[in-house]
Amino acid sequence: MNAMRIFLTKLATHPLALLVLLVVVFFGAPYLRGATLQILSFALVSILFTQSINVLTGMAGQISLGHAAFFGIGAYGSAIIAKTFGLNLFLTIPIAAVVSSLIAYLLSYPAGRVKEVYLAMMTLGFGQIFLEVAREWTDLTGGVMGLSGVPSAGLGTLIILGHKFSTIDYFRVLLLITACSMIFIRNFSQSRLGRSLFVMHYSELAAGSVGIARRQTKQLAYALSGLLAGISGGFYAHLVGYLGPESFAISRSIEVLVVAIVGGLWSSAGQVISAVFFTFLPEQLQLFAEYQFIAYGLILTFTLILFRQGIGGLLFLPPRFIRQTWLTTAVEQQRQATAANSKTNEPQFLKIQTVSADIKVQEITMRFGGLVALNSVSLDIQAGHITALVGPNGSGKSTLVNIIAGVFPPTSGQVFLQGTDVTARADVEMAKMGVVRTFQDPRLVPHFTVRENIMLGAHAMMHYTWLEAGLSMPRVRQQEAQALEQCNEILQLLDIEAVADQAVESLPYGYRRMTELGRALLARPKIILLDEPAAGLSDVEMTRLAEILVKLKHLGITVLLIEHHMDFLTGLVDEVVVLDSGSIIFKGDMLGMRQDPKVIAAYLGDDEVQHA
Amino acid sequence: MLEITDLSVNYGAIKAVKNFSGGAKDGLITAILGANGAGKSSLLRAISGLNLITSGSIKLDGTDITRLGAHERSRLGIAHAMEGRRLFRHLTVEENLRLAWRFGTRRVLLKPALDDVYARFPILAEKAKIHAGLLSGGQQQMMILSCATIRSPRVLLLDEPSLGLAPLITTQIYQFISDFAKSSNVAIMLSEQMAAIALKVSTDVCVLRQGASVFSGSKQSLIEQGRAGDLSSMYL
Amino acid sequence: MDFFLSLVIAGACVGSVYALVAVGLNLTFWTTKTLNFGQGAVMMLCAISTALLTAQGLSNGVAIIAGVAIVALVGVIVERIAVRPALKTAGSMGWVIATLGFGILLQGITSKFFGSQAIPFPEVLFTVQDVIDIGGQNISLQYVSIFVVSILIIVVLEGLTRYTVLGTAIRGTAQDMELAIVQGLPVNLIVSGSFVLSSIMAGIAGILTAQISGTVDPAFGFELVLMGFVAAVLGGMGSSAGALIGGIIVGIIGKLVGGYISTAAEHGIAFALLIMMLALRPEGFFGRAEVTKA
Repeated sequence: MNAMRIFLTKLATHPLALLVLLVVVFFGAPYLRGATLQILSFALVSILFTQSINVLTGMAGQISLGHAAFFGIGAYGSAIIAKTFGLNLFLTIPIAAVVSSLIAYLLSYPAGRVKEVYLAMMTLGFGQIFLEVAREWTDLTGGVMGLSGVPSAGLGTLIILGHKFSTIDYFRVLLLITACSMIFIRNFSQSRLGRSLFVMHYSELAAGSVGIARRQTKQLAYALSGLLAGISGGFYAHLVGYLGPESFAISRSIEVLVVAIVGGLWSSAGQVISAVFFTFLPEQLQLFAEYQFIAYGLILTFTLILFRQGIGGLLFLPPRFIRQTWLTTAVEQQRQATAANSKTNEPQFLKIQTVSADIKVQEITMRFGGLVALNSVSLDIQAGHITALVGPNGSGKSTLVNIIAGVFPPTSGQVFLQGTDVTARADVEMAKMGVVRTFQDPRLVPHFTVRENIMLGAHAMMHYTWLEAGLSMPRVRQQEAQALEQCNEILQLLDIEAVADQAVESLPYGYRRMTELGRALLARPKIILLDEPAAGLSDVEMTRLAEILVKLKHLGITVLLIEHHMDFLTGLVDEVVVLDSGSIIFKGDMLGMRQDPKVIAAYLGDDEVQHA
Repeated sequence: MLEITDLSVNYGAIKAVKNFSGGAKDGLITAILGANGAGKSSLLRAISGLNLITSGSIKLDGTDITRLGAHERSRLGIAHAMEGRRLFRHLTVEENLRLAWRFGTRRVLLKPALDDVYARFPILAEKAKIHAGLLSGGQQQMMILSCATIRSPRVLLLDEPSLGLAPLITTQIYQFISDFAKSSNVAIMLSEQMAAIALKVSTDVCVLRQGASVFSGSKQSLIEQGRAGDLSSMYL
Repeated sequence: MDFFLSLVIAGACVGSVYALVAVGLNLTFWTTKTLNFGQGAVMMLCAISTALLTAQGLSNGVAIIAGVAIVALVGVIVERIAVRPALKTAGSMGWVIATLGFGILLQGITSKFFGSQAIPFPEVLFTVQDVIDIGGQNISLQYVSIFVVSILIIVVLEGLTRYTVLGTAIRGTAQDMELAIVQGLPVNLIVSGSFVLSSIMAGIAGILTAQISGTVDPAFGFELVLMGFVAAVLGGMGSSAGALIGGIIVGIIGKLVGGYISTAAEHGIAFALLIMMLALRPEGFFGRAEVTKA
């Protein structure tokens, strides 16, 4: 089974194979029957439209039940502009697509703030609004009677720059556009931006912790999705030559969801097959047309539960989100460089070049409603030291770390990073300033490999745009390659290079912990905040972790960790700070802490225990 | 009577409880001590059925309940007051109590049971119609304990009852727990970080550290072995 | 002025049906934080069953009871095969698609076996001709009756949730399911029950709406459930009073817009309201602020 998958994947991703396919279809077009050519054209439109769902739902995990609206904006937009201004489709489709993209961008404003179920409702509502507008704004859209006379190859009315487009010409243009779009999306998905879309779905906090801007990421997903849907709609309009509002009703939105889900939510290859299949099926199988609703209903109800991976998962290996050729080169280069220098496993790019960072926390108070979680806490976290934060339940440790990391601001008090007041700064900003954290339970993208998860840490270090990513510009390659080399250094530091290209969901817990640590490290922290890093680790893994933390200290990175595991901390930390009920009750070394009467009292109760 | 044999609880790779053996006797209190992260809550949750048991067994009055779900264990008479003062904050005090009574063993009728509670904690009678979330910490804990006892349980599991409470209230609550153990003959297992107060009322002690038991036996033996002073090293 | 008043009254009446739908949606949202995106098909099934059974000769009353019983069963099925497994395995949005799919499935099956034509719906409460005089206006008794029935049901439900043990148990489960489990509450039953009740309310809403429109067809109910969403969000998810007020507001604004601007915009304006509300005040008028992300 797997051998077949490997073969098919090689075939589907091999540039030569794809080129051959393209050439064959391109030049074979005149030999097809007119009807077949037309169905194939519809299939291409469907492929394009499905990619818009791939980006928004498959990658960014944002649900849309009204995507027909964007399809419709592209269709009507292009048709109306063409009829009104006489422009050709190479102008009208992009314009309409940009309009669609803009509206999607606007829609993403409230979408960013509300939970998914409301999002689903909103998209449903938006789809309905579009339908009503299309039906009612008769002057613009032709209303219920529809818009006819759209320049179309099939009707012989598509004339561009003097050349009359035949259905074959149209098909070829559509084919090329679709092929280019697929390549664009593939490049995009294997870039930092594509990867960041995934992490938005799985953990927004994790995204923020490595400097991924949440709102912008969602807006990008919506805008790109709107663009793709608009393009596909535009091509649809000039394919059919006539637009009726009912073509953009809920059934269209449902259909594209079905195609995407059956294909496999983030598998482009699977979606291509699915799109072709569902385009041909109603034509070939009259029976299917009768049972279409039932079939769609069954598919939507059960596929995500029973057959998550779809056709893509069945036939192909899981898609990867790093460009394999760049990866191979980068790993080679990094290994050579390491061998040449024969240094210890200490990634030099992590070395603090200037001065280690310290954090000063001044009279921080945090109130949640009536509860005082932190009571005027002041603390100096020494630069370049390993400091532990311990204390009984409810003592305020997590709250303090959250405040330092910028997850929420304190009720009062200030936080200084190397002398700069950073009190009100959000987690994304703090991450960019070098304050990176990990979480109590590792928040990773389950189907990403260890390497892909760690690469998320480099997001804020790279600066290319989505357009450059899709077009695979040289600076994309440069920046990715550098990040990949650094990523490999971290894999070696953490001793997880052996599993680097396995999906984290298949790995034992210890590896996931390390992966999360790796992600934090790739973000080049000056200060790293670790929340119970030793929890769930075996003794061997704990020893390894301690060694790594010492290496980080050598590199000049300041380490702050919350821990309960006292043995782990012994011999590791320079200073331990004990919190109890929101106040600091001890600062010093581990030995002193163990003997300090206030600490003992905080943990055990008053000293009557000695005489019980 | 509660008997636990060789119990292990894993969350994936995290070994929260490692081969724990112990229990609670009718009318007596067993204290489970340890720092946070030691596994106290995981242990109690495994007993009430909220956590899955990886291996080992639990017997209630001789019957093996290891395979039963939380709902059934509750019906059999295991009452669990979870850590963090969990209660239905948007229901009134009386609604909380009624609900607890209604789905308990109902060996006592509602009215006498409620009267009992109000007699013991008059402040609850005063606040009967107030939303539970608005009570003070101590009052909430009184209500939570009453919800557990109003069920006429066979086993009572209390997770850090003193957490976040002032010493005076803690004493009051522990007095109640101690009295209840004697009068009802219920087996009680309570977990506490604050060893002192728990040791006052308990007869048996288990100290947990990173999921494993580092001491298990009677309070008497803890003192006789001179290990009471060692407690802090067992924690830290 | 007459025109205005007649619109307001009509709006309040259809709005009360929206509120009924919204309250039903709230129920499952309380207990499971999910709702049935295919609820429209549930409404349709109840109305069509009733219409078909009366056509077969059953009395109105029996047909209605049968229709309601059928959708009550559907409620159990939806929870069991679409919601529960989706919550376990399909991530946070799986259940949206699964319930939507289930609704489509129901619609598809109904179309296949009973055709997609509209079926006439019997006059259950009064007839089209019956009117009553309110403040000088001739108001259709059918409109008034649906208003009364909706409000009645909502009030009864409120009473049940507030004053019975079962209702308290439902509210408890909604607040903290784990606590409910450990206290021995029959949580599975409560969850199923909430879906059953939700479907019953949807079914009744379907019957009331069919009463006004006079016909039912398999696509019936889709817009109605969207109106229910809007009412629920406007009022604040989880609040019955909010659902009632939200529903009536949506109904009135819809009718006013429909009357003065364009009948087609009647529903469109509701969606615009939805989007605005989610953009400005997602927790609605009465909801608790748990709509926005942390």
